[in-house]
Amino acid sequence: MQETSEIIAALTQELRRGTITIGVLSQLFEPQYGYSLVTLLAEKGMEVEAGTLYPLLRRLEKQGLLESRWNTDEARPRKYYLLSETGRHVYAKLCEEWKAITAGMVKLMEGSGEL
Amino acid sequence: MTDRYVYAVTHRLPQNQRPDIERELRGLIADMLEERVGQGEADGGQVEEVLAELGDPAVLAAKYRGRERYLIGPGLFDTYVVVLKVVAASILLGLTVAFLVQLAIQPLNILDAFIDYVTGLILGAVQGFAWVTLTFALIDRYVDPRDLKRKGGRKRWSPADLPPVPDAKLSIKLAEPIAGIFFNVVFLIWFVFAAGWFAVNVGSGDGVTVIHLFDPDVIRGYLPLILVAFAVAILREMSKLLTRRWTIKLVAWHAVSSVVLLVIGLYIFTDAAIWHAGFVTDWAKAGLIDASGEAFASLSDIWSFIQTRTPIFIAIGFVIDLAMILWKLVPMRRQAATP
Repeated sequence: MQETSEIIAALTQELRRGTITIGVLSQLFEPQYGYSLVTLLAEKGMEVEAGTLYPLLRRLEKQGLLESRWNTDEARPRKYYLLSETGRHVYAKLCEEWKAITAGMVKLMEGSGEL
Repeated sequence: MTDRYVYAVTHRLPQNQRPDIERELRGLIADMLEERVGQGEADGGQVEEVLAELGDPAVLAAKYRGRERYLIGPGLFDTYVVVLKVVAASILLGLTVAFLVQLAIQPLNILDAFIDYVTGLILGAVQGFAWVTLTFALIDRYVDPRDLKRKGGRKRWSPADLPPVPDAKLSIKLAEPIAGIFFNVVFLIWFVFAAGWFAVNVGSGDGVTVIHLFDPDVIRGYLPLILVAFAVAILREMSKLLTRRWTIKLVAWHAVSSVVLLVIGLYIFTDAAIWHAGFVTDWAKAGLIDASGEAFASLSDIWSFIQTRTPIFIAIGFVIDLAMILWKLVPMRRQAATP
């Protein structure tokens, strides 16, 4: 039997997992490299592990939503990611979906008195 | 430490991605260290902290890969285990029987026979395991289970994909193909290890006489074909095991393999040289029957009858087998109409 607190933790993690991609895309209108993105998202309230973010960025690039460029100007070479044309389009669509989802959630939770 | 970590992650990933990921990972580790240490040198303890935060390299590599790596995936695994068990049991039984037969024929060479038996078991077990595993690994890699079942090449499930409620007449009991594989492997091992003779043992006082049914040299010559025949038979039983129901494809495959077995059987048994010429006289030599008596004459008659008629028996067997499975098509037609 799972502890209630464990169940809550697991379900919350699932909830958060669904929002990571949108969160990441939202911050890439300006070029960012992996670690700067981790910090940026954390500042804005989204905690993501570097070990999760880096593979995610790679996947999004593979899907065509991001473009990358190695920056060798500084002492340490860094890979910068930026939203591509497709990425911007997809992000806009995702935001619409998000608004629809939250509107639906509000209706659901109103009825239950939690809102 | 860092080198070890980076290596541990990248060596699990495809060759072409490694340099890029390695650069990125080193950059990440450096950034994380910089955060803790500022501009100074990081010491071992802090490096370890950072690496611990990144987590198990295997897990990180899995995230980069985005998919699990199974040799034989969960869907296929159960069938794999079943086949493995059947093959193992068959090899065990077959070799044991061959060993016992060997003992009966040449009781003086017990130690040799036993050593052969044990070596045979070990080698046979390894071979069996290797072939079954290889086959299933290949199936897992190249066959997408979803591709197998969809009619008309559709990717999404639709009610048309629902298999009909199994007709009891069409379901294959598990015991049937298992017994089939079992006996086929037993006879296969018998042929291969017992050098392909059938022998009738007769004790005649001071020893054991072997009476060959088949001519050993000729059988040995046909060994490749015999092996092919057994392979076809075993594969046929395995396909029954996988589907557990008679389908049109299975019936067709069964029919084709029956034809192959028929052809091989006829080819081998129409060669008169395969029979041991001295069969009847051996009985006389063993002192079981009188060389000039009635028994001898009738045995000779029976023997030539068997020799000439065997191909016919094989053909009749084929026809009966074919009829029986074609008979399966009848309930299949009824089944296609179930709602």
